[in-house]
Amino acid sequence: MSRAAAEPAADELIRARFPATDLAVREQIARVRVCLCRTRASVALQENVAILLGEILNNIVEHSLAGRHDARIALAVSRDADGICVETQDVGEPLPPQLLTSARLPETAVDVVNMPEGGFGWFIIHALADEMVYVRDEGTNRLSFRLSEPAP
Amino acid sequence: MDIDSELRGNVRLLTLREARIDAAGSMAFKEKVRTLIEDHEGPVVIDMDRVEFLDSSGLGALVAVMKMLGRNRSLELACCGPVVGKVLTLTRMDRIFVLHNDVEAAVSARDAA
Repeated sequence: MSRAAAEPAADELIRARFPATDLAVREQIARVRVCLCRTRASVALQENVAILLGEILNNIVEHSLAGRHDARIALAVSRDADGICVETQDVGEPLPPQLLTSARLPETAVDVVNMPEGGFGWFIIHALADEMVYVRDEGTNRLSFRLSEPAP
Repeated sequence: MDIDSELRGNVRLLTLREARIDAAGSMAFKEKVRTLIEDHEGPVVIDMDRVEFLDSSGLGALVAVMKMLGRNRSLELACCGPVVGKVLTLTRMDRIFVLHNDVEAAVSARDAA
């Protein structure tokens, strides 16, 4: 039996390259949601994918490729028996390693004038992603993660 | 950023007409809300019913609005949908903002207060 037959390939839903802008990110998230609607993924899983993609892609636009609106982001989304797999690639700055292990929520037990307006993104990513793999390869960031069906 | 604004008693009710508060729109949201509430001293309720998507930039914009309200008023959000609710719960901001299931109940509770 061939390896391909033993491990059926994931069902690819989207493969795209788009400019590193907020509006392009918004458009891609909408596209992914339309594709996910046609799968058997639960609505809760579809929502989680959209939320996670928003954070990952915005992070690339704002930090990795900061201001380089001519640069492109590659995105692949696929479905396998266990959930949804997402991979992004960009040629921006390397991801700071401390972001990969875990993230803390910003301190909110503070006076209202000092309430944090940022710092939530990586916490959301870690809360929703089951497996996250990051590879920095010859100037390219490759980040992949899987989201499983949430418990009912 | 399309937001309806009306005065109900002493409550300023803002109704979002947008499907998302995301990185592309969070700045416009913040600035629009600022102009709509700057001369208002009473409670503010935001009807989130149309909002299908919120990311951490949008969440940051909501925190910015909460700061505009100062120490004596809370940020009151009505009718948060599933994605908005999930983002608020995950980040535990559901404990910081005041959430209401119903716009009319939120307004009358605040107007009476």
